[in-house]
Amino acid sequence: MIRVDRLSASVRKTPILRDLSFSVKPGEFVALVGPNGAGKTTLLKHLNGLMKPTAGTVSVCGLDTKRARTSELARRVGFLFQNPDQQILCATVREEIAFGLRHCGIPRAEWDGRIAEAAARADLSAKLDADPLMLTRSRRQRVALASVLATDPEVLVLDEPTSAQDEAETTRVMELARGLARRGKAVVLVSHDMDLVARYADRALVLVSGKLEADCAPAELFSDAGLLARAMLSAPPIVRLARALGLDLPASGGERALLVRSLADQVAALARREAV
Amino acid sequence: MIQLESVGFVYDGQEGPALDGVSFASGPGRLVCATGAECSGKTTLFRLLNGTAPRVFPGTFSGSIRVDGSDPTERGHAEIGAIITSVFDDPDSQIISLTVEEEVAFALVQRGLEFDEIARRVSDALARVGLAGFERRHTASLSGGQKQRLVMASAVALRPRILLVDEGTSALDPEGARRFFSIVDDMRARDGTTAVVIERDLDLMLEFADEILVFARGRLAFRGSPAEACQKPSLLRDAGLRLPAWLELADELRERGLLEGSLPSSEAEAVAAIGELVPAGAAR
Repeated sequence: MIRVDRLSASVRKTPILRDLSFSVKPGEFVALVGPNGAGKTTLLKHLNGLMKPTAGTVSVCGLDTKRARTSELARRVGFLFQNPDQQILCATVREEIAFGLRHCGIPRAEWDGRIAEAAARADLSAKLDADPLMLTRSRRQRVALASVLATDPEVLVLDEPTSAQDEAETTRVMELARGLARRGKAVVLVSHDMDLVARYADRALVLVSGKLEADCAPAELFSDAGLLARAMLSAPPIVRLARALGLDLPASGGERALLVRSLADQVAALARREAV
Repeated sequence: MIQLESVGFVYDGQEGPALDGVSFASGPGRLVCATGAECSGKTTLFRLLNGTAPRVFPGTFSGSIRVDGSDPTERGHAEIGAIITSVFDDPDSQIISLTVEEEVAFALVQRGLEFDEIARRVSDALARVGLAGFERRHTASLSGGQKQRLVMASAVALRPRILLVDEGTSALDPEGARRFFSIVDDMRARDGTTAVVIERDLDLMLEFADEILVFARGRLAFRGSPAEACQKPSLLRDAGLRLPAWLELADELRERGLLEGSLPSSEAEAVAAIGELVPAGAAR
């Protein structure tokens, strides 16, 4: 669904991305990780044609982004910017969600249903008539998300979608993204939150100074100390804790509460053995 | 010096109060972190402290609030700006100059400082935030983390008596977020700045705060040291915070009767306490 082949990109002659190749299949949930300034956002902007490759090719849903019109790409790629204020334009939440529908050519008859559904999924049903700019940053971020969801894109690009969300909303947003991947959408997530990467992503693309340092399962990333150091990343806190205590975590990952219980079970078993 | 007594605030057109009966005080060189779930009142606190409520965000204020001896809700913008520096989550909304050094110098020029003093403060501030050598760089060419450090350099250069930060780390990577807090920490230590920081990362708050305020539905649900906050895991969860893994595990073990006494207040303490239960495991 996404095929990036030997992509290089420069901004004002400064190379930002260097010879990247990877692909993302329908139904895959991929995390793009790396330090601030590694080129993550630049790479994302190539997925919806906001930027065109300096060298190499990017194809999304069969469209070469260099040739396809941005409007054609926008219909297929839902893009959530890190800063919601860069994509909120309208005076009410309802109009904001409708804006995307209009420009993606969705028939008018479908608007009301789509708006209501997207707002409900983003926990905004009570705010449809509010001015988005008067809402909290957390809600503004979800307004941008609802606008993206309403157009039902094939590819979802989420740049730090939970940076303004509290724990409960973070889980809601991530579960939503996971649900979309299960329905065959390709999801590309940028996040600094390694707990989320461990819990939700099928694969991690590790970007360091514009180069693809690794393309692997999150568990593989988090057990490779050298790779983590090069990418200036840390394993999720619970992984580090388990290691410090000499305990094991289930390889399959899972909810944090489950992992905590698994560690507590092991402590309990070891404490019993110790007492005997 | 910041002093709030029974502070309440109701936004115009809204029924319930955004803040209700909030009292606390903080002095020079102290770093207070305020946290809470969405609409808990923390941003309203921020707006009252920097005088934007009720001036920009209209509403009805009650109680008493003193920032450096006077009431910010009654002061003019310039007067407030001379004492208080505010930093927001989005650096792009604060950066206005073409180059890094112009950006840091901007507020100093507005204050009418001497040229030599401005030059000294600019280079000192850039060094303190780790942007020495970036003087001539275009602000638009900086990464998000660098931009936020630039905003902090402007704050450092002003040597404010009061620093207010509204979720300044929300767009930063973990390394950038720690660095951000180190800069705030440095300001309170070196310049005696009183800092009030709205934050959601509990790990950072536990590491850097002198005091943590937890807001819930407009009221102050908790006020205490990081070590005291660690004794209230359910309250922290209810505030929409993610507990550190070590605190979750220690809490779970205490629930099961395996860990006794008070909960640990750092990862090192937690590993030591839990490690005692499982010497065999830890030795593996």
